[in-house]
Amino acid sequence: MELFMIFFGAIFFNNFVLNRFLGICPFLGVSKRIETSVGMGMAVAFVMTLASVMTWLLQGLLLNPLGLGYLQTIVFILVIAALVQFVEMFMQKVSPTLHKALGVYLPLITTNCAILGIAILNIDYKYNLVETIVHSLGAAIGFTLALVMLAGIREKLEINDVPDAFAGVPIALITAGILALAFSGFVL
Amino acid sequence: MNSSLKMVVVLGLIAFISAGLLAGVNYWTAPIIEENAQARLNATFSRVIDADEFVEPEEETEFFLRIAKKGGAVVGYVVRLTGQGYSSAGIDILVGLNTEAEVQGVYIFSHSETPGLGDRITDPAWLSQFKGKGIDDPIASGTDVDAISGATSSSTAVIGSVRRAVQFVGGYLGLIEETEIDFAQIPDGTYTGTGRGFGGDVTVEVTFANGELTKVVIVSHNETAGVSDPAIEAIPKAMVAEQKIQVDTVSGATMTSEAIIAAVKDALKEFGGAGPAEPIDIGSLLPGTYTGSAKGLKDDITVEVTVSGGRITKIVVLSHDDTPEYAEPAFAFMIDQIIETQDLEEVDFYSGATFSSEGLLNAVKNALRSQVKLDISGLPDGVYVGEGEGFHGITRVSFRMVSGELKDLEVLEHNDTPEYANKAFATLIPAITEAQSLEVDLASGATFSSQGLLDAIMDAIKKGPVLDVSQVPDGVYSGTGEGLFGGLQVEVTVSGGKITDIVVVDHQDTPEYASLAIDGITKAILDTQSLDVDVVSGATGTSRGLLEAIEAALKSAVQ
Amino acid sequence: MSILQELKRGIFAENPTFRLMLGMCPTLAVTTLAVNGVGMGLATTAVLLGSNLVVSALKNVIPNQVRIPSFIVIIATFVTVVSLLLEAFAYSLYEALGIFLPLIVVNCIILGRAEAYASKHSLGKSALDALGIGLGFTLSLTVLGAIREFLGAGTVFGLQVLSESADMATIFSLPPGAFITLGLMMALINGLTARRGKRSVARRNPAVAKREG
Repeated sequence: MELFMIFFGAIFFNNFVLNRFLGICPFLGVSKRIETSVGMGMAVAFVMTLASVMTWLLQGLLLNPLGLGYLQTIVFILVIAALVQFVEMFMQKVSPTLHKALGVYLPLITTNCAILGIAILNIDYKYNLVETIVHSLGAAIGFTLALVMLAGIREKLEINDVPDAFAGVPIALITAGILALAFSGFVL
Repeated sequence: MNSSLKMVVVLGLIAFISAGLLAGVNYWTAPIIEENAQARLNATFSRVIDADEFVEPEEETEFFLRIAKKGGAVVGYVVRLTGQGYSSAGIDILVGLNTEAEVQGVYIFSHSETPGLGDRITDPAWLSQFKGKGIDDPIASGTDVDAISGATSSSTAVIGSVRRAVQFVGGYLGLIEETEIDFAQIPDGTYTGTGRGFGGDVTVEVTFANGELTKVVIVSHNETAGVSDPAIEAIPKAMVAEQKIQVDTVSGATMTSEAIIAAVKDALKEFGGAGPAEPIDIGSLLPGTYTGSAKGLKDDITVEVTVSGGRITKIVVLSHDDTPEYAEPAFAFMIDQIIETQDLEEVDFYSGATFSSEGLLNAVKNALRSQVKLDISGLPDGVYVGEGEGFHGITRVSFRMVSGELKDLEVLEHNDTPEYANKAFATLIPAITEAQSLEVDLASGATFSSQGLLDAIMDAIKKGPVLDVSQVPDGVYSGTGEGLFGGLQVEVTVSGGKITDIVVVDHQDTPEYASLAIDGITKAILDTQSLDVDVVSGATGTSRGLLEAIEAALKSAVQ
Repeated sequence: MSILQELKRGIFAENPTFRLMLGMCPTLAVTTLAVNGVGMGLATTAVLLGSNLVVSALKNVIPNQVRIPSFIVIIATFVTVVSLLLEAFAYSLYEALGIFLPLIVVNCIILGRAEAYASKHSLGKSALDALGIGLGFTLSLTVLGAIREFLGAGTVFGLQVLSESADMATIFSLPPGAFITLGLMMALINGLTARRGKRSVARRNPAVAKREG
């Protein structure tokens, strides 16, 4: 029940993008085509879960016992940066096809605040390891869902007549606002 | 320089310097952050009680507790505890209480109940209903506080938490005597009681045999199936196994557990455990020996108390564990004092051995509250009549006491099957007369009739001797009683073992009603030659006063 | 370039929010109130100033291969310092910014400026760049916060502007309102600049102006 709530909460009413504003940059930048959105979503899901587990372990096993909580930000961002590098290298070696599909998105992920955001949130919410993993998966699915939905709408918008001033990001933001409105409906 | 070495060195230096810088900033800000956090917490505490300082108690407590002070003086307490609502995360609640353990304020610290439904527990108007509730209030939904409809489980959790906070602070302040009931003093039998649970009243039946709790049965309840099952299963077993009432509650079914405990306490409330026990009326005690024990300095002190003629005549310490050179003079002092003053309430303790003194006094009190080992020879002379419950109905007996000897025991009336009952009476009556004791074997095959007979004798002993007019010497005796509006005086004439005349000399009651009573009662007594007559309806006050006066007159004749 | 011009560049021509479209997460998240916009903007400016100065000072020391990790460490250090200081001395702001305070680390503006500007320019210029960009960011957040606060709660900087009983569009205080307000503001600025661009072209070339009417 608890895990169920965490999982679906992260997908819907606490959607990372539409409700928490985490990962807006890739949300606006990569959501022009459904295909790229799916790729980005997969890459984020992968890194997010891995990073959550690693930072959770670091916090629990290293920072907290040593009273170094104030180094959280610096340690987490370094871990995420190193992890992204490592994942990219590993992917290139093991599965060039996967790397070809996801590789271009990986560098973008380091500065994706959704990754650092979920790592910090997991600690703030005092989640245990299982809850951390479930929460990360839910958040990643929520992120992908929002990304793909917006991409689908933007593909349609492109062939429609949008006033010049609204073209591009402004109309995307307004669309996202309406999506957010729909997602906030999950609360009740 | 080698370029890769340079990379490592530079990166390492940057990391080292930044870690050092952060450690410094942290060292500087940490105490300020801590102090701020404390101030914010205090500000939150101030929402539930008007105070400016919140001190951690020195001892470890069951719940989070802060002592609230204002201007240095203790004004109350803040309790923080978690209630189990709808969400598994629990409801974090602050309760502020004054020094009488009365609720001053309730604040929901944090909760994860459903928005729009469960979160209505934060409504200040609803929370204000707890204000002023104290240890004497039930604090149960539907009695003195209301749950929120549509958010029953969330609001009931809050109500339960407030009740626990009140009980906890009440216990902390010593306002609630958490004395465990002494099972040894509970007569054998089955007792019924109720406690308030999650869904309503929980009714239990508690059975005692030989001073031991043998069975706890939940007769009826309205608790949620599944959730409450572990408590219904485990609590009665734990009580019997541990021989105590205050057993650990079952987590996840706390309310049901507490309801069962409360119900058992309710069933046994006449044996103490709740409120101070009634003072003992030594004059009405049955003759015989009583045993009881209470805690002394180290362990239990056990005493045997002998009562005869409505007085404590002897106290013997059977066992104790206190240091003899201190305890024994204390015991001697206490025993002498009790026997001399016949008073168990206003007692001086032997200085230097207060615990032994108090232990002895409590042991005596416990003894006198327990069942008597009857000494028939101590009963005053006279005719005794009593009733007991036989197999099919009431059994009435009578007997006489002559110089400490029980004589002429006979069954006046019974409703049991003659075949069995007569056999029982034929065995028991000689046995009792022979042994001069009620501790005889019951007649096999007619235990109910036997028990009825013994109960009737016990009842007769408790009632004391009835007046036997035939024993009263001839003469005119006067006595007084209390009528409806004042004193009432009679003169009773006895002649040849019979009451021949009753004259009311003086009374203060309304004449037309009083005369009804006087005529009726006088005629009835003269007819039956017994004081066991019905009062005259419409003039009960005068009737009782008159009977009291006649009895007093006849008693003066016997003495 | 004069100091004033340098600052104006960050506020208008290279406004991080409306022009470069960087740092969108905090822009959307914390602008429920104008005061939070100011706080977030100033916190970001402080970090930006610090990181720009250090990066510029160390530009010849840091080897090119480890420049990104070095920048990240420097930025994260300043973020943590700012975060600790806010927690100690401005707790309500610390609480309002919440998770977006540590997330300044991943604000693209800061790493972007370190990489694109500070690592190539002098200390003074880097400082001016940080102040200009920071002020531009602060201004955008403040305006956005003020608009959302006005529409959502009827107040601006906590001051009651509309009657308290006025029925406000709470949606603007909620997430959907953030997206919509920012989208509309961006469209407005796009529209204004497009007209201004035409006008300036017209001024330079009267023939065009005449044709356009």
